[in-house]
Amino acid sequence: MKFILTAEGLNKEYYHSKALNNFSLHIPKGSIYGFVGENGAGKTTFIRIICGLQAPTSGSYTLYGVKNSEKEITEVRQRMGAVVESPSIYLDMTALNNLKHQYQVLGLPSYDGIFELLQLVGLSNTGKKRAKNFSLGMRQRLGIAMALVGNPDFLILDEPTNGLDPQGIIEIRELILRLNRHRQITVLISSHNLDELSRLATHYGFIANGSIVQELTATELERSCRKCMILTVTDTEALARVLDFMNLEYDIISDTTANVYGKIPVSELSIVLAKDDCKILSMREQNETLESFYINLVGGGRYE
Amino acid sequence: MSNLLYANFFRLWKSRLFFIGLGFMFFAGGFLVFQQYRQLIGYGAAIKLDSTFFVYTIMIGVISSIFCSLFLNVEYYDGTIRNKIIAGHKRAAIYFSNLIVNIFASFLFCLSYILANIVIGIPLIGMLTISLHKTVWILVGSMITIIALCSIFTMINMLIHSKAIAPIICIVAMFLSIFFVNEVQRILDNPPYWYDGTVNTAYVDGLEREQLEFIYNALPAGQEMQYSRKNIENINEMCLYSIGITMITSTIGVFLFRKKDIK
Repeated sequence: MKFILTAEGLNKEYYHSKALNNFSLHIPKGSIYGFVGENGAGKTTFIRIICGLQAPTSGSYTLYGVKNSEKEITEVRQRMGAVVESPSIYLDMTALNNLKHQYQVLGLPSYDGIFELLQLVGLSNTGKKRAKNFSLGMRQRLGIAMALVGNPDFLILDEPTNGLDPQGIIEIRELILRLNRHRQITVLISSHNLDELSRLATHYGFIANGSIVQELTATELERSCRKCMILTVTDTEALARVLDFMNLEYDIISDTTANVYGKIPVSELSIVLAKDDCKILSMREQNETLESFYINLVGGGRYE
Repeated sequence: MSNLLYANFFRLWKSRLFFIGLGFMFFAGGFLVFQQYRQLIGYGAAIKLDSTFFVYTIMIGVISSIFCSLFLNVEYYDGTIRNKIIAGHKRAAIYFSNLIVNIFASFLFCLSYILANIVIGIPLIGMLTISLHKTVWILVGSMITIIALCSIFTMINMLIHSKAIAPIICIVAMFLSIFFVNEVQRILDNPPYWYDGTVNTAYVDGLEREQLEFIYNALPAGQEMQYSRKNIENINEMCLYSIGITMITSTIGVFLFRKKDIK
């Protein structure tokens, strides 16, 4: 199984609005999937549907190879954990009792691993303190611990760093990385904090107006956002020969355009190209950030 | 569903609200007995334990409405209902496990009141004077009414996720139905003739009386009122109404809860 979760043509309509519109997505096993979109784009609606909290109006999704219309979907859901919007914890109970309650909900035969879980999220010293007296970061970490009960191999985190201070953000980030690397947990993180996501995600899905605009890997995104020179020439074959000779990294975009990475000795390049009967028609620098990439993707006009 | 029940009972034992409810009912039971005892000592009135023993039937409606609302609404307010759904539990199982815990807690509240009457009332006032047979019938009948009440409160709280609205609806509805039934009872209690043989114009007869009697027997608040007065004349009818209310509200509740979009 290559993908842990796929969605095809999902639609979700509320009374007068469409939250998801022909939504499709693919989350590879073992990835940290950054689910990016502005507020109201449909991120949380999609997560609610996957968690079984809401039913799609039409379309389907497949979790661990099981389609949402199949009976087994409730069973496979036990293999995932989720923190949807706010952490789902009883505020009048301690961290330990919250976890015990979740063990019981899942029908686990013993409380084995409960203290390791508290330690993992850094809440082993909270004692009899009730969750309502926790800081936002502590609640968030307890919510993640609750989602980790039963050793899920897929974790869904909806805006996990919302409202956290910088220290809290770092703690959550390190926790997610630890879970992904040491426990091989696939993670879906929805966020509109692009900078934060760029430090974690191995894959990205950009959502706007209820539809996925683009899915790409972190490498592909990095390449798209990399500083480069966009050259328009009369002959890209000649350009490729020269760039190979000069040992420069490049991507041929079209018959006349290429992206060239690294420092370019411009005068030397133009002399060599001229010898090959290739003229440089234009040359401009591209320095796209993740933010500008996202804004261009979802329709930058609104932000100008 | 056993996992959910186990988890819900775990939460119940950790709930301050539950223990406050138990304490309040014990205190109320003891207080009423003590008040009666003062009448007995002060004025030599012919006081019997019967006068306080079944008062829990009136109190439990209000106490249950508060407890059910606050206990269940936490699931939405804290978002913990999501954990149960994500854990793969069927919505019907979530609904019924909550209903069962509410019923159980309400029974314990009654037991707490009765316990206070037994441990404080019997030494101070003496034993019950009504027959054991009638006592058992009132206890059984009132428990069936409590199940109907819990079923109504569970339905309201499982369908309305607002922490402010659901408890208000339950509590206000309970108080209003008590006032309403009290008024119905007052009308029904009117005798057809006064002691001097003159016709009582306030006496209600015919279809109107039948309608009022139906309301009095069918509404859980009316049933509570009758049990508190040790009136089991219509107990079969009242039990049937309660069972009907339980079945209807649970069916509607589960049906709508299964369709409900949870945030």
